[in-house]
Amino acid sequence: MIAAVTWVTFLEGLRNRAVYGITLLASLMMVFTVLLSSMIMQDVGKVATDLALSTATFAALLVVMFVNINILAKDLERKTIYLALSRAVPRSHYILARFLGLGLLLGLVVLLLLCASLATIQIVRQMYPSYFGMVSLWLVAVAHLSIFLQMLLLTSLSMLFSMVASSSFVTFLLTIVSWLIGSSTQEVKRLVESSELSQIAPVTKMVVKAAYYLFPNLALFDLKTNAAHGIPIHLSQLGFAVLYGVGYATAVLSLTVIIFRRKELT
Amino acid sequence: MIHIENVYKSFTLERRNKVPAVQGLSLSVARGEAFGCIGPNGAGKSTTIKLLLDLIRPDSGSISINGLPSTDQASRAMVGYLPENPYLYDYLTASEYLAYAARLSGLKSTVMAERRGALLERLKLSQAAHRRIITYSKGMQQRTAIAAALIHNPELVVLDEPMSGLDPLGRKLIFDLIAELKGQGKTIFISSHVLTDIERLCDRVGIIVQGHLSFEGVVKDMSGPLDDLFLQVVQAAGVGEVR
Repeated sequence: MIAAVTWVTFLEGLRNRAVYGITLLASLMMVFTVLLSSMIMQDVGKVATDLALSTATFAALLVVMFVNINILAKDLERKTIYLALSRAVPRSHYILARFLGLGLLLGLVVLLLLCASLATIQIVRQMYPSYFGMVSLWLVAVAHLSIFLQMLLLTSLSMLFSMVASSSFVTFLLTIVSWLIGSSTQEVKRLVESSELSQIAPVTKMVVKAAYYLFPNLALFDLKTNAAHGIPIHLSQLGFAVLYGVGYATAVLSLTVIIFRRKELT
Repeated sequence: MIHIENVYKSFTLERRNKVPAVQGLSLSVARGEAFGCIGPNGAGKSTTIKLLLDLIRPDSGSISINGLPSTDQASRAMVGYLPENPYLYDYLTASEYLAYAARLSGLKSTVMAERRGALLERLKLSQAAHRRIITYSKGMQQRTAIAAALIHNPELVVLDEPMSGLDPLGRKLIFDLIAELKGQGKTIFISSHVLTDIERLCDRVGIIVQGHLSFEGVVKDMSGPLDDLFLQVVQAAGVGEVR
């Protein structure tokens, strides 16, 4: 049962035209990265790596926002969900299978983006070997794994929001807001806690602190600087990010299952 | 096979107004029986079906299938359900959709292939089997949904408006298929507005009006046409407003 729902979710995503549009957009951005590199006189490798990873993050984010959310919304709005739930499929299994299917789709997209990023970086290296500098392709691959984890986490959040939101647009808004907060919460917390800004109101500090613990800390998964500057990533740092991602996604999915079990599919 | 006992269900609309959909509904369908559930629009027929399949939960009362409470997913292991106005996965082909429906019920690949081929042939979908569902007409989509409901050879078949969107040929196809299921001894629960079909296919009929079971009887014991009885029951219940 889980395999059947996972496979259908993956197929549905793969055949969604938005995926092709996003792939085309990502390809154009990679070409733009190569063109832009010709205008830079030093550290071309760093710029190319940074741009390639930004493109990969942006494209994967678009897949979450326009493909994953759409698949879940259609399931509930158009009642395609009835086929599975009118059989002996537990609702918890359904949620898990949907998540795995969306994860499989994201995995494939990020793998393609990794290939595109590596190809882009290699092309730039071949074109400007003297100005390229040091870029570790291994770190680029790890950074893509990190993007994958980040987007999986965001997908789990979008699933939770789709259970409580009245429409797919609300789910979209809540997910994008979570991404924006999650990406900056670490920096903002550091800023408000710094001694130079002691005039900040205690309430603001509390709100920032609450947001830091409530929203996922997506900055943990941003390894662009490491990859672009060749700063090694410690295994413990990577392990912590993986555990954090898995733990947070598990908690969010568990909450999704609890809500979904009570949800009335009118 | 089906036992619905004193079930109440209401929905909360805007401004927290509660609208009763099913009020003290009790009915039973025996194994191998074909039961026709009819009623005016908004009477609570589809709500009753959704309650039966645990897609929504009753406010009070109990529902069981095959002796198991409807909240137990095992009760739905051998149920085939055709929703009203079914939406299918646009990007799949009918062949893939039926394979999916079969795997949801744990059918083995060989059995699935055999059942799928037979149903596609029977419902005149073989030639379009590898085309994406998004390209299908309403009638083809309805027939695909019926095939999906039957792929695992269920003991209980729940059909909500099975003739919806079908042309006369399609209706004959589905009518014959339901008659064949009845002949095989399947338990059938049909909700439909096509009263002539209900009259010809069902052993017993129940008329739901405003969430109540206002009439229940054996079809062959009825003295007149079902249409007349339906109008009498609905008028006696004082339903003037068309919903």
